[in-house]
Amino acid sequence: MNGVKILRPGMLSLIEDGGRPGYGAIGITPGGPADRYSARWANHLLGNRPEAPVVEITLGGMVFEALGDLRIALTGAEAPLTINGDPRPLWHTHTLARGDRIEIGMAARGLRLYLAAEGGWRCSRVLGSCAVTVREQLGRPLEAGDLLEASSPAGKRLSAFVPEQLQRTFPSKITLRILESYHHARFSAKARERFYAQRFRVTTATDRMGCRLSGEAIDYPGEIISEPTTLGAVQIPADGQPIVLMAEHQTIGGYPIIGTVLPCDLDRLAQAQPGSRVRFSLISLVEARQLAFPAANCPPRCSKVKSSTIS
Amino acid sequence: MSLSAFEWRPAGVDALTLVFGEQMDGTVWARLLGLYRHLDEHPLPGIIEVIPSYTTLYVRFDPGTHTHEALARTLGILADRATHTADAPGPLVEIPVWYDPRVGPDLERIAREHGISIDEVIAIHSEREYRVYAIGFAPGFGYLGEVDRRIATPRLATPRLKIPAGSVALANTQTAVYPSESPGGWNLLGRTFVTMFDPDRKDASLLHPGDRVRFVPISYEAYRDGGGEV
Repeated sequence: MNGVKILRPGMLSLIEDGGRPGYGAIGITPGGPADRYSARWANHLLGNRPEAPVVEITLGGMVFEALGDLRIALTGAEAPLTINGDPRPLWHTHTLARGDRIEIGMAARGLRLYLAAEGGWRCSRVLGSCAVTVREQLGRPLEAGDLLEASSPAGKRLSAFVPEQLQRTFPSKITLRILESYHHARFSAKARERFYAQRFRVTTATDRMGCRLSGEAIDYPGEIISEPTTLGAVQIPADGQPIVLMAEHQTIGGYPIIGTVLPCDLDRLAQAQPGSRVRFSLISLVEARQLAFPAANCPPRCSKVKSSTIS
Repeated sequence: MSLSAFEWRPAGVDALTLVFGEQMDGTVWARLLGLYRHLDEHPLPGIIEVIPSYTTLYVRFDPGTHTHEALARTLGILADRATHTADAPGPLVEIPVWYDPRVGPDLERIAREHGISIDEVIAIHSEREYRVYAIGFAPGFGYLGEVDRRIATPRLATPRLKIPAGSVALANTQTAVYPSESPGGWNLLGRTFVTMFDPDRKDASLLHPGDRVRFVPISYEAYRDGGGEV
């Protein structure tokens, strides 16, 4: 079998693909990789489609054994990777032979790693996707003993890597560009000023559903009539501490939304460890469009996924 | 004209929020539902997601196909055309419920707080036809309204950590069935054996926005024979 056997799954390792957009009307979250930039690069390195199934490994700590010949790539957070004890680079393809032992250590910087295999990992689909959403009981995290099969055997491709300037960096201070929400008029001028002026701190209460920040409280303008939410929306709950909605966000919410973070900046937030400092910078819809789409126009460290600069 | 149907706002770089009204009311919701149904039955290319709620319709799109402005214009025209379908009643879903303190631990308190009997609470809850205004919180969790004010009861101050799947509950003037075991703060009235959400079923969710729902009181025997557990 062109696959691997999981010996140690790590704290939380999930198969993710493009997720389940289109099922929001029956309450299903879109899901998918928290850091799409890194996941797409892992697939790109192997010639896969951008949303082929990858394993999202939170904080590292995974060990697996190759059961046959296959090619893999690992991107995302900065963690030591060894094959049979030899250190190997991330953001790089690696060809494995049967019996190879692969160890991914704990992430020193960043939060999530993405493990792709040539052809994508084979998996069964539910509602059009194999994305695991633990909260919705759709799939489950990987466990020791699980077998993962690559959809294609290692081909004759040359090895490929992502140029260093396009690899993720993990600054301790990040700026998230944000589009103003139409709820903004509900917030007082003081609340808005406070929101944009300060650096919030990423808290430990952060998961695939939402990233909770802490800072000087933003005045709560009161509940809204529940309405659908979107990826990157920044909710202000009653305690005034912002919550940024991530890949597995709830589909409907009753907290006012101050703005929506640009998708490529959200990918960077998905790698921000607790304690990182975050500030928000307002941009216009026109600017946001130019930055976000097409993907190739995005500046480095954003989403320059489609530009083929690999060797 | 489309001017009156909704106002549109960018929800993100690839999404629109269509605001049909500031307050929940029947006309607002019927218009919103009309457009939702139209898009559900005749999907537009480049539309990724359409989610209705009480006063707004959310539309996520492929920014390679649409711009906010042009799409909002198109949707405005469709909303005008869709008004004739807006009032069409949705399918009726009947949900059998065993109302009993053994599976509805808040029945007695609701009766006491409103100064009526448990039988009256059950009769009031089950006599009305509800509409599915929105689905959220969990897959297949429909927000149904409106509950008769004679039994409307606020959420629990402290949510329960574990509510069994199939629990029929109410919060203020909303009612719902918990599709899967989860924490929750709604008042529990009874339980159904019907599977509200099954991802392997052709139609994963029993309820869809716009459906009509009626709760049908059943005996313990009927509940048990249907596969219900206590």
